[in-house]
Amino acid sequence: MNDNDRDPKPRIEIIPTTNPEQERSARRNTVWGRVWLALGISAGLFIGWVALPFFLYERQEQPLAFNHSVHTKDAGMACADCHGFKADGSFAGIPPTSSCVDCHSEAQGTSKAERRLVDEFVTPGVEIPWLVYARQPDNVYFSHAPHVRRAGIECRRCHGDQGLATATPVYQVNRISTYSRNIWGPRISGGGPNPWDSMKMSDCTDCHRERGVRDHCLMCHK
Amino acid sequence: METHSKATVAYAMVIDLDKCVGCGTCNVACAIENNVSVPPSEALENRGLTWMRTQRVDNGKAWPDHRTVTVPIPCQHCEHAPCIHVCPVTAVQLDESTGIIGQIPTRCMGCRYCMAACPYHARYFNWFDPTWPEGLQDTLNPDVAPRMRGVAEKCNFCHGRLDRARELAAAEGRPADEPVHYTPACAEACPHGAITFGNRLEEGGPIAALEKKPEAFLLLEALGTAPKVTYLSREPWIRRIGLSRLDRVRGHGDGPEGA
Amino acid sequence: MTLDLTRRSLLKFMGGAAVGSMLSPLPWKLLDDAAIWTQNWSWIARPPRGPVSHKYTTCQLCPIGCGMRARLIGASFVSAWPVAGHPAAGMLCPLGLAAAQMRYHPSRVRGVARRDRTGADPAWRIVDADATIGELGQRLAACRSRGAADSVAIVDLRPGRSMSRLYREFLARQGGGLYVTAPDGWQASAAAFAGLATVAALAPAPDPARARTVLNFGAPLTAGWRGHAITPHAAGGPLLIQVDPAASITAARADRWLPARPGSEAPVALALAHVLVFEALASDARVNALADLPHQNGSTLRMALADFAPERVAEVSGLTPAQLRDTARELAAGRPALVLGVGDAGGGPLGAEEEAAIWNLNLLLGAVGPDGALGVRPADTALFDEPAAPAARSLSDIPDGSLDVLLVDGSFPGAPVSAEQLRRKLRGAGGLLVALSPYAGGAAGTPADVVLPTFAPGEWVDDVPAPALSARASYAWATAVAVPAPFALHPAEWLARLEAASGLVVPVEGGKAGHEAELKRRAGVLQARGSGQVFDPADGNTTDVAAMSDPDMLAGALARGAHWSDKATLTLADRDLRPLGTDGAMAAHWRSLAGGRVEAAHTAGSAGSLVLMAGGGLAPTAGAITAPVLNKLYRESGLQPGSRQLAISATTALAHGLKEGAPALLTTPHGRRRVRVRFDNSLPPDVARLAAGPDPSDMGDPAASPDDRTDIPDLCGAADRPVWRLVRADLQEAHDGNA
Repeated sequence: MNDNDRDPKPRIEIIPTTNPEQERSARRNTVWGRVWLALGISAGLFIGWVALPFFLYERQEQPLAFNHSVHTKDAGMACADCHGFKADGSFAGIPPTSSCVDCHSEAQGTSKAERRLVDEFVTPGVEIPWLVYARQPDNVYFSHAPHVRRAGIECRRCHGDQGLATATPVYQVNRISTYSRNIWGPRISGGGPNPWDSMKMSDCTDCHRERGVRDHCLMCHK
Repeated sequence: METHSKATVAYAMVIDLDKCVGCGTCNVACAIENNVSVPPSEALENRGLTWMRTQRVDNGKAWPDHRTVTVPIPCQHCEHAPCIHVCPVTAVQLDESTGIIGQIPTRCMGCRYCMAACPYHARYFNWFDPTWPEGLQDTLNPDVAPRMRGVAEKCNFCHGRLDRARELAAAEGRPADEPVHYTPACAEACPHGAITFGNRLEEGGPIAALEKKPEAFLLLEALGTAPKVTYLSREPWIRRIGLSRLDRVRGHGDGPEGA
Repeated sequence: MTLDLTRRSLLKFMGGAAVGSMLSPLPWKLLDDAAIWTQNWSWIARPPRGPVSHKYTTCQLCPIGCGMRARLIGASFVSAWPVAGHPAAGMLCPLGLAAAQMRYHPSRVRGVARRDRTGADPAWRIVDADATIGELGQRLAACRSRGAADSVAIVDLRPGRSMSRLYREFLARQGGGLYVTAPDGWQASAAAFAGLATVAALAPAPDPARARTVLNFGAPLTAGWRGHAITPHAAGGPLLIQVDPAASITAARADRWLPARPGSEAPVALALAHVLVFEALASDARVNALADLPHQNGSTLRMALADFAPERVAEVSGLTPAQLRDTARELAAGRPALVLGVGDAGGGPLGAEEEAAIWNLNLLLGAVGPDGALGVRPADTALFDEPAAPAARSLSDIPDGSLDVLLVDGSFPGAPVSAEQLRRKLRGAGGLLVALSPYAGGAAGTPADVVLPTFAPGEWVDDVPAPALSARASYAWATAVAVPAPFALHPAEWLARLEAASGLVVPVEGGKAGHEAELKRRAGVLQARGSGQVFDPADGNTTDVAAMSDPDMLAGALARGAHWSDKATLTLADRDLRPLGTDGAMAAHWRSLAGGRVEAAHTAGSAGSLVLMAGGGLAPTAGAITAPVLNKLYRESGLQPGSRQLAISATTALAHGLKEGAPALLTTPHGRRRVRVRFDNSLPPDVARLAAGPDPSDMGDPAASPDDRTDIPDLCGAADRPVWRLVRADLQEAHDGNA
């Protein structure tokens, strides 16, 4: 079967292969076929590697421009000053607005974001609807206490240099799974150059294996 | 090393049937703690989900010699659990560090082999999407993930509470291999103190002492499943209920057709 | 050279694209995301997220007032757990455990709801609140202006609270409306005791823990509802003698079981008293004085008991004379002894006659007073100096067809009241029954024409006075642990709006502020008394009130869920006691019950092959609103009998041609009800039992009309007679499959 099948008036006689015109045509067809194939492969690669992340993730802005660096570098605060443990051993995670009140009952500086923090959240006592980069599905159980308190793992190991950032990164939500891109990682193939770039189950189990922690489904699933 | 030594912890439960009055508090406490859904009203009674099933058994005699006993039956967390071996997708696991048989709903594919294998009828299947009346989602327990339609579920000795207890132990700087103590919802809620829960390997602990009492018995001991739930009764006829299979009876409630 | 697009090249392109994408993460990524997506379907419930905290409060769902630890996730009240060591009861029953769900009960009304019960469409509709309040206000004003204030009434299903005072003050300002209470079995028992003493405003405080012997008439003591669970004799508790027709769990666990026939409580108690008096077992001078104390009509207890020799009572009760004599001797020898009445409270109160006969045993056994097991404490009305006017009256005192506006307090979703009786009090078609209730169901919502939506349990501060028959005086607040529903109002606010609409000037301290002031006042009264202890559920510590220098300290503790209690302090002298009642009429009542309660009812014209007993369920009363999760007990497991399961022994059922689970029609002189047969061999022959409680076939269905069924109290004739726990009934197989 070849392109001659498409001839509107198919001839029954056998065409001599030595026909130079035919040979050229066949060669041209083969070349173009390869080009199409290559184009197809490139398109597939393009869709998979470039277009997919573009369409799969919706970019969302945080409700307030937060500058970690001002707090950690300029004000000299530690992570645990805001993201601390509570008496029952649970980790407070994103601090409630009430923890901002101590310093920001009134605006200290001139930034627009701080003005909004005071006017829209602190004064009326409203919680800031942060988009949480590390938010895990409901069936995942994760506790900070064994990792931070017992194993002494630094915040940076999983959360990276968030604490030094001057601006909140764009929150990219996966349109299908509804979780943040930070769970899968910046690379569409998963993960990234740094160990904190992704928070998939494989990241948990890899680290557990390295440290010789015995795994069991119910240990991390509820 | 963050490992749990398998020799130090095996959680177990002892239920004193002489104290149980069949009020159903354990059943309700369990459903509330573990986000066990209430099936829609058109559901047949035997498609309900009660991780802590409470079954009424009588001595077969007429009044005035009639006596009943109610037997709360959670998952028995067998040492040799038949459900583990029949699961084709490894959704059932024995955690050797706690002795708890875990059932992972997100892994389950709903074949229900485990339900057929369990001689205690301790597994339940989500025949319906787990739904709650409007607004009731707001009363769910975040420590336990709600399941979806088409998966099996069962008692896991309130693993969410164990997670909380472990978290506290870690936060207080206690070592990982130190056994943690916690109380499942049924044991906490039982108004008559009929349910004792603890680590059966703890030397001089309450479980070890109760399990050695002469009135202790197991359900279907002859099957060799080695359950971790032990029952107590001074009444010989009650102790004999462990010899035969307690079939899950259809509830006496009214069906959708009304009465 | 042309880039000619042939079919072949297109296929190649597509094939290439497929290969290319396979070389990219696309398929694996989409598979992974799709797998996670299946875990996030919108109909899979999402639990609330947030920090965990606990608040302490008091359960509001029955009068006992057990301590409750509310678990909160963020601001969401997710579950309730018992408070170990709480003085009221260190436990919760399934109703209390599910308290967090009560705010989301499907029958909760989300606005002022109204229905036309007689019209073609009796469904509830949300109507304009202001217009409804305006109409009700005009009715109140009209009643006032034509001098017919007694055509306005409020039914308070849990008297003795701060709201009770507000209801009374409201009625007084309306020119004297009627304040009505509907006592349950426990309150009726306490009232019967008060009827045997000449001292006003006292309450009996039986304490089984102080007794060596306890004789109990039918109450599920070892089943432990209402905080009265007692320690088994073997574990150092009292010797328990249970009088119970059924081989119940309490009967089986009691040290002695007297399987008396249903309705023979009074003859049995009087036969025991007969033995105590005539065998001189109660030989104390005080007891002989009581037995010979003459009354208005000249009769004495000794004369009244003469008819109740064990030999005669044996026929009525099914017990042998020897059993009765031995029991009396055991009681006399095992002093301090305590005799408890009440029976199964789910079946409504025992009669005042039965209760008086039972309390008399306590008088004869010398149980009353500091040496015995029966203490006496001041009633809550006396403790908190409640206004005496308008006086509390019972529903049966109000003439039928006399009320224009009947308000029913529904802050207690399960309360013992007959819907039919409430409806009968209304004036023809013109009367309106208005429920102040969160639900279009339950005691208040079921008979109502209008529901004014109030806060659900857990959303407001209600106070919990001492339960009837508790061993100690007590007081606690059911504090607010949940965010109040935006569509609901405080009952005191509704009262204030009604008052304003009726053309009266609402006092400055009216509405919610008035309620708060009354709560604070009560804390002040207790602090000023300086007696009793306060239990703090957060740390389990107990503090003496005397150590609290400031009323705000006590109010603050109550607001954090603390429980105040004080021992029973009153003492009664012989001259304060009237064994035949203060009017001396008890002897005549007892004679009428000599043949037992069933026979007394039988002569009233009913005939039937069965004796139907009401009660035996978990829910405190009939028609109670219960949390959706209780479906696990009522429908999924069948552990608790619902109000459509007729418990009956297999022999009796089969004699009626009915098998297990068979649909049947139960007919009494007062109504009919479709039931299903449930074999229960703990019941004696020819006795059936229908439990109070929710109907599992329509649990949580607000659309079900209340008119298509006769609820248990009305089936037993609660609208016609104060004691409705027993009735003659007939049972037939129901052939057709529908209503």
